[in-house]
Amino acid sequence: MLSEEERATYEWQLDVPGFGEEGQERLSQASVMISRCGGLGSVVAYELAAAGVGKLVLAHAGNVRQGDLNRHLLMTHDWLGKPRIECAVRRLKELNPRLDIVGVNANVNEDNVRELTEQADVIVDAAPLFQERYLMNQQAVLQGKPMVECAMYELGLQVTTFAPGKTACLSCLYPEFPEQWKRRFPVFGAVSGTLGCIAAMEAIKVISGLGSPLYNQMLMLDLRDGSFMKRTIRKRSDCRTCATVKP
Amino acid sequence: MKITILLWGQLKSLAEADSLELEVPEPHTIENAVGTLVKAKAALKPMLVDENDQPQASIVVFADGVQVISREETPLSEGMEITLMSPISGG
Ligand SMILES: [Zn+2]
Repeated sequence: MLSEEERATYEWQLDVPGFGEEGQERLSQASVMISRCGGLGSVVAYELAAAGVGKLVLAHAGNVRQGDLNRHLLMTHDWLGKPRIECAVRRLKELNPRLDIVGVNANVNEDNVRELTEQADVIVDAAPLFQERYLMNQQAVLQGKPMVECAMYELGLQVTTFAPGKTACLSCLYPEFPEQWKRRFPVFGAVSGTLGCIAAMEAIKVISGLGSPLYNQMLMLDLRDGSFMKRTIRKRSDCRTCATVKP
Repeated sequence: MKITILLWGQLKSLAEADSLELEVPEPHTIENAVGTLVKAKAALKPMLVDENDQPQASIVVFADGVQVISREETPLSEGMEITLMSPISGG
C-alpha cells in the first residue's frame, strides 16, 4: 500500500496507463544496482530516485575531478577532491529521503561483483570499461537478473535490455573482447543524460511491467543528426556466458 | 553486387558518413564487403581490419537489421543492408 505522501509525490506518474499504484508499489519494493555513477549512471540513479525505486546499490571509485563536472550530474563543484560516491549519495537523498542507498567507493571488479549484484533485482550497466561490463553480465546470467545495457560515444548512444532466459546476453552481442575501446572518449553531458533517461525508463518498465523493454533490440540514437535505428540482437547457441546456464 | 553499408559507433565518426552504397565484386561475402569498404574509406581501416587485413573479430555485423552470428554462413544479396558496429562502452 502506498502512503499518502507517496501518492502525493508520484501522482503525475500514477496516471500513466499500464502503471498505476501497482506499478509504483513494484518500484518501491525493487532494488537496482548501477555501475558506475558517472555521466550515464548519475542520471540513471537520479531518475530512478525521482521515480521512487526502493533501493539503489551504487558502485563508483575515486574523487570528484574537474573533468567530471560536464556530465557527472550527481557531482558538485564544492565536492572536488572528495569521494564521488559520497556526493552521489548526498544528492540522491536530497531528492528522495525515502530512498535506501548502498554506496560503495569502488568500481566493479572480480572480488565485489557478486556481492553487489546479489543485492539488486535489476542491474544497469553504465561502466566505461568492457571488463566491468562482462563481469556484471556474467552475474546477471548466473543470477537470472535483467541487465539494462547502455553505452555512448561522442553524440551516439545505444541501449538494449538483457533478460536471462529470454534474450541474448552481452557476450552474445560482443563475443570477442573489443580491444580497440579506449577509456577516454568524447562526449557531452546532454548525450549521457539522454541515454541515462532512456536506461532508467528501461529499468522502470522491467520492474513495473509497463510497456515493452528493448528485449533483443538495440536502440541506437545519434544526436548529431537526430537519426535512430533499431537492430535485432541474437542469442548465440555457443555463447561462453549464457549457453550453458539453465534459465 | 550493390549493397548499402550503415555505420555505427566510432566507425560512423571516422567515415564522417552514416551510410554508403557499395559495389561488392565476387565473392559476395561479408568479408569481401568489409575489404571493399576499407578500400573506399581508408579512414576506417584501423577499426575495421586487423594487421592481416582480415575483418576485426569484435566488429558486430547486422544483415538487414538482424545480428549476424556466423559471417561465413551469411552470403550477401542484392540490395542488402549491412550495419557495421564497433562496440562502445562509454559510461
Ligand atoms: Zn550470451
